[in-house]
Amino acid sequence: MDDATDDPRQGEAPPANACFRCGTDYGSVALPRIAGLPVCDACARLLRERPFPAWIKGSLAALLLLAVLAFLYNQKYFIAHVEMTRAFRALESQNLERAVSLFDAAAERVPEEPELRALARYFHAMLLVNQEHPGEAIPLLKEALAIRPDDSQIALALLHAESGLAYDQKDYDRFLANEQTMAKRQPDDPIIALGVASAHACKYAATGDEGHRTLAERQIETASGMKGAEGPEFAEYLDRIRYRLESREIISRSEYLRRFPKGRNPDGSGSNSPGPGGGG
Amino acid sequence: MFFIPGWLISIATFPGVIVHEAAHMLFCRLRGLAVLDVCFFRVGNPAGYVIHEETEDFTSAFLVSVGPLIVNSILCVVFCFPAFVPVRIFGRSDPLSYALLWLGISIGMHAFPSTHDAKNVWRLARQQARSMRPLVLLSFPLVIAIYASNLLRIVWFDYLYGFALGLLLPEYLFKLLA
Repeated sequence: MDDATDDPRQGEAPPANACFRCGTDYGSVALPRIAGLPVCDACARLLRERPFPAWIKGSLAALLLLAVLAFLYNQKYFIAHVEMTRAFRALESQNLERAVSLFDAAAERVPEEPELRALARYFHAMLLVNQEHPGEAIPLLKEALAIRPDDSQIALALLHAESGLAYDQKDYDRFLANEQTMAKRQPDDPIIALGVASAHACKYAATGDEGHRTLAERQIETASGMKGAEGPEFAEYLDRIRYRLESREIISRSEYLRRFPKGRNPDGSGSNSPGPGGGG
Repeated sequence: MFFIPGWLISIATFPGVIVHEAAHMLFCRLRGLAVLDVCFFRVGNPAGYVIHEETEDFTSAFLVSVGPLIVNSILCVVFCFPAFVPVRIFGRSDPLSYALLWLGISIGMHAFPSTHDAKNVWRLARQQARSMRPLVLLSFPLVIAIYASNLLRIVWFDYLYGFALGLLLPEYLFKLLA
């Protein structure tokens, strides 16, 4: 009971056995009392089962119906949100393929959401780069970048894809230029630093120019000294570059993995695990 | 933090006041307590009230007092739920979603019983503390929470509760269940 006057009806003293609500005087019949007030049976029943006003019941019913209709109307957003949540979970468990299919499904479901489309395009492009199809990733990344022009991660991914395409097209000068641009943007990333070494190794393999070999070795040294250069991804990439420098043979990552499924070093330091895609 | 007169807040969130009083009345009906007078909304202090017969039955007193906490909280989630994903996750700005959020948060804001409601429960709980009934024991921290929430209204605790219940809880549940 909220703060309010306790007695709703205070008037002239009524007869002792008059119902306080309907006013019927029951004479000598003693009435039961509610809150100290005499009340007849009919009124007592009414007070105990006081009905809700029709406007309350009607409003509640209408609003609940509105909520249900709104839920049905917004259903696609809910499903898209579930797909997004599951996609992020798939990313956490390194399942990029599943994440991409979920992001794509969510973006298709809510086509009017550019941010979601950008996200879907970005991860789809990442998958394509990992599958050594950088050329197919480029238009997706350009679309994502058009939606989010200030997103440095997408810009870097585009550069990475363009770099991969240059590698595929055996345009090692462009490959080197792209890798150097990326290294300038992310100077603390050991994998990107290795990318420059990879490009120099390609130049060495293609031309036999010892200068590029020296530059590749120097870059490897720089990258190896960076924080985060201990992981299996780094080790695999380094092993591929070393193979290129030793054999002067430029092969794709998938070909390398086919030839050396357990890495080239018997001590396991070059063991193969998911590494940077794009073949370079 | 800025001050807005209570009556203005009541007007802006009037559905919450109506649901609050309706919840008191609902539990009065469910527990067979006579309702002598009811005002679902008015411009004044209090903005609404339910005058019902007093009871010495602890369960009845407890349910009638905390009724709004149960009903308002449930309806807050029910009304905010259809709107939270489009608005909060996708940043959509359709009027229907905003209307539902206003409705839900308004209702959630008025979930906490008044100190007057709490006093009644406190009195009976103290009398029956030795019975060690779970509901009686539960009522002690609950009454403290009700007093604290009423005190913290000056820092918009009631709004924060409605917001958390209407927008953050569904988001958390979504993450948990998706």
